Amino acid sequence: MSDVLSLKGNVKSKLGLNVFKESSEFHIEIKTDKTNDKRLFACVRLCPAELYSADEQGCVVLSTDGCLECGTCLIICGDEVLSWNYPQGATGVQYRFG
Amino acid sequence: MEDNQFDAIIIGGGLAGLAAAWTLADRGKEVLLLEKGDYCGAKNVTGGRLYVEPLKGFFDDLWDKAPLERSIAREEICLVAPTKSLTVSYTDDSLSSIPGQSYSVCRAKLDRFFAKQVERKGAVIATKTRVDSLVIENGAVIGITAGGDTLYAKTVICCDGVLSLFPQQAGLRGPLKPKHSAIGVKEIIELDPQLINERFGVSDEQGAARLFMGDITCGRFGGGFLYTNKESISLGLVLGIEAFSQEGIEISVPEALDRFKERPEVLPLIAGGEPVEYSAHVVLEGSYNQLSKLYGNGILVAGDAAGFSLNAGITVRGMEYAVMSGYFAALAVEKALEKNDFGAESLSVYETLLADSFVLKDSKEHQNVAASLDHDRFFSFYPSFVCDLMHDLYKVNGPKKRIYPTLRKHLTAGVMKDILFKDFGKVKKL
Repeated sequence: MSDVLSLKGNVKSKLGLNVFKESSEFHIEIKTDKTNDKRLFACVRLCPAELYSADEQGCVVLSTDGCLECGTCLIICGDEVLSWNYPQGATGVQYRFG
Repeated sequence: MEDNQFDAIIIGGGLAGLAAAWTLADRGKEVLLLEKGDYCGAKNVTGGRLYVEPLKGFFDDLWDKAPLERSIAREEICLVAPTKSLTVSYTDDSLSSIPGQSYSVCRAKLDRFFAKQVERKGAVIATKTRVDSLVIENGAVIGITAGGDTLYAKTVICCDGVLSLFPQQAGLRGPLKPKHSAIGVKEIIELDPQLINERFGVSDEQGAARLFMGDITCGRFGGGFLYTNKESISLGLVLGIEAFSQEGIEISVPEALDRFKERPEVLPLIAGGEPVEYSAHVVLEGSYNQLSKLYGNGILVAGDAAGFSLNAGITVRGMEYAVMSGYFAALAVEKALEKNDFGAESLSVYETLLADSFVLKDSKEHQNVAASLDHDRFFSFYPSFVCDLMHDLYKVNGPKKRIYPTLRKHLTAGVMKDILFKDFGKVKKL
């Protein structure tokens, strides 16, 4: 019908619409012995930026590039599973509309 | 105590923080506001709509000059079943009058404008500055650390948003639970203003708000929203985190948003538009019971960080509470400065001020609404029930039953019993 659906199924391209400023640190990290915690598997489906994925070993891996800083994963997992902070000042997503 | 001590340090340059900073600076107080984004609003997301009406009389002529988008003149609700939908569109003379009671807004624009006015009042705003922690001494908050520096203040006002990390550090609240929060995901879709006017039947200054409930959230707690901005449409979903985590839902959050965009009730409205931003944020679905402790020694909490939000079913609000709680936090600080006492008891006037205002009155009035709304039958059974009834009322294929027998066919004894025993108790609390 129109180009409004052209990004369907392509979260990476949707994230490409946003302004992101690179950071030298990972602001969210999965705690070492928690990579197969079942709460993380919920993040695979619920993270709006699709940053969580399950690997072949049944562990969940996280890439923070394109993080929208929404906090969903922190709410699901809590600080038992994640060490979570906002990115340093002047880094991360910078919304132009919000 | 340090010499270079601010009257107040405010964490977070959203609406609560800016309102607090504006109010204190307006009264000549030494205020420092710290914002981690490149500018105020850079990290903030709304649906969104701001109800300006309750804010009139505060902040001089701020609301007249603010970059608000469109005055919402048309209120619509769309009940969505898998292959059917029913949309109700409401308008009246007062909704259509300008200035209206509510406006669509984009936070990056609104907060940035507000921040400029705050700076004009004399407050210092340090952007690109992430606060790392509170400084707590002898049970009292006395400052913050940011980027290795320690800054001291008589009071710290936490306006750090829904995740509320600093009030947690101060022991004023526990972590937010999946049951009390939702994910909001949104696309901004640029669209020719003339097309917006035609598609929604509005003038240049006017806009429409449409809420969706039913199949779009897989029949679970949550909903869709559409707000018309001046030259774009804000389109998104709010999905209960607990509800959407449950087994039986296969699709992901981005897939749910794509599916929503393709619905025949949505696609014609956004066709020809161009997506220009994709955002997400946790949203409070809390109630009065989920409010944090609002103050402690040397610390006050305002806005989303304090849990101020309201999902009343057909009105979903948060920003007005942020603005007014920031305002009252500032008044409490002003009174504490007069007494030179920044202990919890001195700051407790904050809660008294809130209790006398619509902020806590609304919270109390609606304290059981969120829990009652979290009832799958409202999102699965009712949208389909109503749409199936409409289907039979409108269908013409041979001998036609009258309206009343058609109603009776749907409202069977079993359905009536379920409505009475499963739902009525919930409905009473809405």
